Amino acid sequence: MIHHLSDDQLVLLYYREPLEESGFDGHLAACALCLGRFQALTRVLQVVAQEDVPEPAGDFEARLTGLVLAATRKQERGRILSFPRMARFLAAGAALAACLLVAFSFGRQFGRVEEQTLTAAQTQERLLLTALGEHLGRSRVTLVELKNRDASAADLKALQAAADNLVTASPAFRAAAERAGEGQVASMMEETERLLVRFAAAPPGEAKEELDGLRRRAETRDLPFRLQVMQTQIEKREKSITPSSQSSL
Amino acid sequence: MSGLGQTPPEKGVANDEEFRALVMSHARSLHRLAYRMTRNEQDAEDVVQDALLKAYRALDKFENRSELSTWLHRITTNCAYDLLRKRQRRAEDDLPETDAEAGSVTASLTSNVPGADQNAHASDIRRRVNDSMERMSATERTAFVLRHFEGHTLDHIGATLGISLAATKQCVFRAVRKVRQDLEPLVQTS
Repeated sequence: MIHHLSDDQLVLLYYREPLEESGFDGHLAACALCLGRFQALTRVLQVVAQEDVPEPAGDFEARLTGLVLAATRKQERGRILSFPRMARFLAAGAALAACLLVAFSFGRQFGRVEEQTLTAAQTQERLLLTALGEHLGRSRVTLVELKNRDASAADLKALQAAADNLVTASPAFRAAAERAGEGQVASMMEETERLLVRFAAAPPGEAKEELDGLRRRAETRDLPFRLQVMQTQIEKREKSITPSSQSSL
Repeated sequence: MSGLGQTPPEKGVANDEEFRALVMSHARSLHRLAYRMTRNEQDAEDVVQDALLKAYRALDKFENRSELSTWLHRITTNCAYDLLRKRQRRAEDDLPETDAEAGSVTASLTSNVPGADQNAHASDIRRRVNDSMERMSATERTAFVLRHFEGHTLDHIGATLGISLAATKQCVFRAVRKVRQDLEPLVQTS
């Protein structure tokens, strides 16, 4: 009985990877059926291999170097305790921590009165949702502002500062969202951060170009609208937390 | 220039000039890899930027363990892989939106192709490859790109992805099956 090569074995042969089983030496040359199947596979994979990849613009390397070096410098400056930046970061963290602390103590004090008031977990969830909702709202407003405001030199600086504020504050909220199992919210925050960080870190000469790119990307990804949808969902969930409802945290 | 394209830098030499040389030597090949994995030009640029930022930070610690190019490709692969996994998680959370996004990505890719008749075939191929890639998991897509376009061995891919050789093979097999489903009819008719 003739044993033909399986599809997976043909794939291994195509990629010149060793076959697991021995005994197939020379089989391909002697078996018209397997050879035909191998040729069909080869045609498909060769077509895929020939696919063109769009080349980035001519200034790709220069732009990339500028962005990476600018981002690194910014982080280095931040590490040497650039006070306003550190203060903003601490403020964002403190605001979030305060929310959670209030939630915790509120829950401790009033959590037992289950019939009339929210449980500790519900209060905690509600305050977290409020903080996340507000942050999503700020993100959306900043993106809309970035999209619509004139991009004169002075405005660019202000817009970069606004973007930087958001990028600085976001990780604290994102970490809180992740800890609370709000993966979708955390993902959305990360996407917004990724979008903003290039513009926020761009040197003055490249800020305008980066803003244009940011606008295009924000529009392609429909980010302000998606942020609004998510903010609305969060607000709805926040309102749905009533003394009788079950906390999801 | 210190010839970064060929020789990995010595420990502790992460200065701006050398970094510029590194970008000049490797950015485009990293972009090709990132584009093949993400199928989106903007995402590819973001991935390369992210990878180079990580590389810049780690250059001081880089000891000639392997070729610089291999090291950079590995960082880029990891960045793209992370992005794909996040995107996939998001897609699982929010299926309709991601479908729309995938549609718009495909549309933007195909709209970049000039409209001349001779390009219709190339455009069709790109669309079908995009469809196949969209149906692959992050691991399948990464394994397929590394095997098919980058020419890495299955052993090497398994080590990059942190999975066994058997699992790597299965990933590549599944990926090839998906590509065949989408492209075989087109290749047979052409």
